[in-house]
Amino acid sequence: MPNVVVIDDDRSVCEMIRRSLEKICLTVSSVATADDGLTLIRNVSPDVVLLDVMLPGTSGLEVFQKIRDIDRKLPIIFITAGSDSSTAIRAMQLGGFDYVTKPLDLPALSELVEKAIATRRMMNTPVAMHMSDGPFPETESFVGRSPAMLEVFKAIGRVAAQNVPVLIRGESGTGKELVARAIYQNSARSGECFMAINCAAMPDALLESELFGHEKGAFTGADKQRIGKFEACSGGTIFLDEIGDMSPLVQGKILRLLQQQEFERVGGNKTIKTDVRIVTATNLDLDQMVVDGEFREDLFYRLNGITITLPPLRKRGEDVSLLLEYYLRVCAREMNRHDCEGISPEALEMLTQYSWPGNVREMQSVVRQSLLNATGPVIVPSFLPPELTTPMLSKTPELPQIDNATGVPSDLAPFVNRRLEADSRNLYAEALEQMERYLITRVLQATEGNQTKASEILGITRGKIRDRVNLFQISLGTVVSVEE
Amino acid sequence: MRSEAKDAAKDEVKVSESIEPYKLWNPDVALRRMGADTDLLHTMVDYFLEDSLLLLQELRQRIDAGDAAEASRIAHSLKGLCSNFEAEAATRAGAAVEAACMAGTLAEASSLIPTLTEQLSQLSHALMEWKESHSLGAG
Repeated sequence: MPNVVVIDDDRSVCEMIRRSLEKICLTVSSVATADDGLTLIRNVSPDVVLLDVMLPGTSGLEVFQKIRDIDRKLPIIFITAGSDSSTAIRAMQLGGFDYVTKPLDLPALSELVEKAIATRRMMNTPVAMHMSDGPFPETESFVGRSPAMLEVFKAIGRVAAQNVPVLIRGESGTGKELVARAIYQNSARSGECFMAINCAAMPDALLESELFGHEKGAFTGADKQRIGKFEACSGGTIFLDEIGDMSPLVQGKILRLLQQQEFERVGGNKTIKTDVRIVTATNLDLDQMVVDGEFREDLFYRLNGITITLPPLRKRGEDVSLLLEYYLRVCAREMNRHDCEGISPEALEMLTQYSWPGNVREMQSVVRQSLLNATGPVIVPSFLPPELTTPMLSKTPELPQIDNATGVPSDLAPFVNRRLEADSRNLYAEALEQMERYLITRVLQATEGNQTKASEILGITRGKIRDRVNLFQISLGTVVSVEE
Repeated sequence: MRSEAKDAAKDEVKVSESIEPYKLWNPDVALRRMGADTDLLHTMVDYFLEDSLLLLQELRQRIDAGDAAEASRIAHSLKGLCSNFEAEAATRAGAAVEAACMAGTLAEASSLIPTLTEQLSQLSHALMEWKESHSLGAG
């Protein structure tokens, strides 16, 4: 269970944080003084530290430096009074993970701590590359010995030590984040921080502020100065996932950063120098987006200098069996299924014949579901999820009820009910996909197939719409429909 | 200690009839910030009732002793305690004392103590009222 250390002399703050974080299964230890905090950090090696900027007899900044001496990669979140953010801002510039202001917003704090733990995991869990017949390593592994994957491993080895941007391409679920982490861990910057940002996960304005920071009063709600990731991560590596979803404005700022390693905070005039290595990833067709004018050509060529392309699982041949063996072992250990002996030849045949549209991520989910269904030590076909045993299902996803007014599938309820009955272990992602399928289809119908208008309405790029149209097999006619 | 603190808080309460208790703090926002955890809000009210008077007493002593740094830290803690409840007036009163202590103007800080004391008393009273009307297990 990840553990969190809180250093704050206000017992009400410690108690609020403890109660809130224990709800999300984190272990929380609190101390009131800097000395006790440093001792605790040495003893328990926490995953995250929450540090008050105002402690008895010392400043949070001084303690921050001492914590950095113990563990440079430990994410530290500062706790500051709303009106007193200058110390926290200084600490952010020196490499703090983030800061929160009092009074604490506990749901937001929980979210931030989870993000910090994920960052800690990405920095510290070594990504091994397994390609021999020997035993699998105990760490998080990149497994494969197909020619395409050997090329990927070689490319990682070639580019990791060079201080250049890298673009990672590949379908969803192929392991782009693992490649980024492997590059970081094998680079000269491995002792510095690593931050991952999903460009598709937040609106353009928020993304710009997250990356570059903002000045007080830069926009409505900017009630204080904020340090962005490019400033906080100076000396380290930033991984920008789903780079094709960035707005033209952010694209321009990233280009300048790549060229000159400098930028301005949103609403600011002061030019800030930084030193970050940028690793990017996308599953979109950036070449086509350049042709369509949706992605800056100059940025594309800057990013595309060194490209690592991950093959989809269906093109990785014998890796499928190797990965099944690996994930079966990993998942059996995680789920305490020590009795699991392996996969029957019939089930293995179905698994190797499957097209794996969701790639390695889908395989992990399938192995977990199969283990949950398994009542014996061997995975047989009846324990496999329905998309494997009923091939048509994987090609024609279950469609919910038809909205009579529009003819577009709309009702999630029957779908969710069916998946609950099927004991799905991936329902969040499945339900989001159903929602997205409906939304994109409905908006394209409203715009009579005009993707530019649809992208304006939805607030996403045309590239993303095109990607979803292909993924969901949406037919763009006068009447938009999902192909059966 | 808890009941002693409560008794002490009651002794100091001087609430003017014209002040609505819920205007002294904002239970809805406070609760939302605490993830809608009423049990936690109860605990925070208890902490406030136990700690605020002790901190206030310590603050007075530090100001009298001329220890601006420690007085500033204690005022900061009091301000933080009040802000948990979105108690704007009490938080502002704490911030004013903190600022005066940070500036080393302890005579000014001392002159602001009666306002802070009054605000803390009113807030204590309002929090106790809330606690009584929202007893745990009563829904």
